[in-house]
Amino acid sequence: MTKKKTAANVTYEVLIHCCNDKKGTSFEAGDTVKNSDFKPAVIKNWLEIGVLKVVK
Amino acid sequence: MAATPSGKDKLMRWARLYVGGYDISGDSRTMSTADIVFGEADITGWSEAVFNFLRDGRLATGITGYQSIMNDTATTGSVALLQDGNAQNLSLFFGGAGEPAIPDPAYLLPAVQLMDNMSIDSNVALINADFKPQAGVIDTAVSHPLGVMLSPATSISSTTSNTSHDNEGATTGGWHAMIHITAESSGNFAFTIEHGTDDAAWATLGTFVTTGGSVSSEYLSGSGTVNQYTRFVATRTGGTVTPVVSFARG
Repeated sequence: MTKKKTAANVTYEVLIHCCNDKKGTSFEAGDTVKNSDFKPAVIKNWLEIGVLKVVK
Repeated sequence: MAATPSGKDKLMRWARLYVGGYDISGDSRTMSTADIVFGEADITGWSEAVFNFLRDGRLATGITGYQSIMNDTATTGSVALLQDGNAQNLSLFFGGAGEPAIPDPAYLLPAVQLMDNMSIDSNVALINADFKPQAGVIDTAVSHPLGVMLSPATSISSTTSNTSHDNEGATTGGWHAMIHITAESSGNFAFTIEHGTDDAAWATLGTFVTTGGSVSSEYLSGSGTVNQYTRFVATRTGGTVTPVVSFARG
């Protein structure tokens, strides 16, 4: 049985270096991040401009 | 947290001009204009009562009427730095009641120097120069030259994330930036421009090739979206460096 992905467990591949000052975290290209790593609006923007892509 | 602009306080006393990594402000006397000009296309019809115009779609940039006091000090003086035909990276900053700081206005231009005339004014020997965009270097898709300072002339010896600039909105027309390494000692850094939507989460917008190992300058550009906030980050591997950075949106 395939586990259905929910908003909470979607993962994203990092395409361009990014970081979160408030959490003190930093990610390089090739890393994966979760929804909890950034605000939803940030993830939405980064999917649009190519900083992140959804891991399928 | 984003830096707050200082308002109506920009004076010649605090203007600074960097040429290829060197601060030539101490030799600078005056200038006419730092151009941002569209040509005009008159589309007035026979029966129309008023003249009306369109922009001709080409932005003219450049610095005209620049005058420098003649200074033949080797390497750093105006005679050495201002040479007819030279390709120059120019960054002009307008400090607000003090040395230019984030986010004071900046005019950046990868330039070719078209004039190198000598003259005398009030007993002082001068060099007169005009600068125009350098073909093959300037990104013509993002050539608007007016932007902001993202890194002041401060020596850094550790990894540094500068205060950001709040553009009060995102843009989609690309960007360009210029770095002047004005001083260094065994400098070895990664210099990046970052952008973000909330002044807390950041993504790399561009990375300069230079690592700060010599007094030098570099022009960098890119296309697409630039988020509301931008900042300059210097990630240290070793040494000390003084990076002066200008940034403009297309």
